[in-house]
Amino acid sequence: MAPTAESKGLSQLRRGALEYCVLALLRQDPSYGYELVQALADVDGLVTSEGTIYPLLTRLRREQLVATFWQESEEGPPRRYYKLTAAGERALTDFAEEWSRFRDGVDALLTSSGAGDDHHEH
Amino acid sequence: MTTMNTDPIVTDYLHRLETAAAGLPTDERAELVADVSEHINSALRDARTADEVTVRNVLERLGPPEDIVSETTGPGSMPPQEDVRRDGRDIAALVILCAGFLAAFVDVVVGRALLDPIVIAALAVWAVATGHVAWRVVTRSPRGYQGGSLEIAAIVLLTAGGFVWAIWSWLAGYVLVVLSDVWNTRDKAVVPLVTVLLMPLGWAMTSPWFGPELQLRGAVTFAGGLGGLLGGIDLSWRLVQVRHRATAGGARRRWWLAPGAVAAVVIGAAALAAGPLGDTGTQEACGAGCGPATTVDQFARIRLAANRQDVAHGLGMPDRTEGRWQWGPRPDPHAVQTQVPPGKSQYDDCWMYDLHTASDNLAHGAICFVADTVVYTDIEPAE
Repeated sequence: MAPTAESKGLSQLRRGALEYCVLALLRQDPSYGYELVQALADVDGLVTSEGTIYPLLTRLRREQLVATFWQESEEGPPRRYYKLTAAGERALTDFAEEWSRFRDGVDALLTSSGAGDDHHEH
Repeated sequence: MTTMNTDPIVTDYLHRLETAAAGLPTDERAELVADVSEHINSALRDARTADEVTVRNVLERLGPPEDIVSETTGPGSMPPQEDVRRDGRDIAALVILCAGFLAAFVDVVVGRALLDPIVIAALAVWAVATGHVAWRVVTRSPRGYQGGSLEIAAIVLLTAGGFVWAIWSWLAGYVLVVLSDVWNTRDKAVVPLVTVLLMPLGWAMTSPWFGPELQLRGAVTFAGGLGGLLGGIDLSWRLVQVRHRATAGGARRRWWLAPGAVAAVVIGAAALAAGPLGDTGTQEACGAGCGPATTVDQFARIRLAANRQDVAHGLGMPDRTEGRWQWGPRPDPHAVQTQVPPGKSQYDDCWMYDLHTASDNLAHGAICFVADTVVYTDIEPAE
């Protein structure tokens, strides 16, 4: 199997999931860009280029899933904070349901085919 | 919200980002660059060091600027209705230019029978721009975010248009400025800001002799004309910057550009006021007795002359609905002095006029200035 094909599929998955991860982070507390990037970068394999979070935030705002406001910071200039909108909350809830169904389905297939292989080897 | 990244590696990275983002709407582009710039600052602050390895590491984690920009469009692409909207605005620009040109032509050239070379030059620029915009609309040239017909129309109306029709042209030009995607909020604020700031100056330059209403009108005309001119120059400058950034590989820091532009504007305005706009003929005729007029003073005089119907109205002459003022060439002020009231021996400037309806000459006369004050008027019935 070509490794590029695998990483392409993974990067598509990552890309699709990333915006909901951002929404999920914002459900807890409003945060500013750099804070979000750090939180996401802590999740292994989720973010490859940290810079792509910023256009993602712009897009989420354009789609009105997040809103922004300015707040003073102790260090440096005021920061743009992002918070979840009602539409964003709804999108996140919908995705969470879909995701658990999707994940369970994929997991079931992956483990059952693995079990099948084991069985065959016996 | 913008912080200074002085490291050349960082500066270069941000320039690449700006170049790559040239296709984005101005606001989004500025926001993206500001966000990434702030990210770099925060990351370097956290690292507590800014040596080259750290900086390169931070930039590597951010990823190539081109990748960042390509993420803005997301899984889908830019909304296609954007283009339709821009087409509509180009047509709006064309309609405003055409209607304004016709109205200005009828009012200024036909109505006042005025053939001032400056007015003709301004109308010519206006006509050329209208043709250009029409061509772009007809051929459906892509406008992009680098500026096109709408921006050119706006600049022409604000600068050249001010010499013909200060207030209307200002309004039409500014509508187009607001519609544009190329200029950001800061750019859009400059024209009204400069205009408002010039109001007190215009008020001071217009003689109180005309009464508060006409003085206000004079002030608005002066501020609109000069504010539109200066603001238009600033907008052209910003447009050139945007285009340069989009075509060349990102603009390098050119420290001399800002002071150079200011100097060019000042020299240009001074040359304009002293040269083609200036009242050189009268100066010569005035001889040694005339004090040197400042350039601003001369500009005010021009504006006053552009408003001469109102001046005449202020003199208590027949309302403009009863007849039209036709202004002849400026005579030698010394020649006018034959009719001068005693004690008044010197004028800075004099204008002759004919008052007539479509068929009859009603009267003719003269109006003379010392500095900005009208000191002599004369009217006598035509034979």
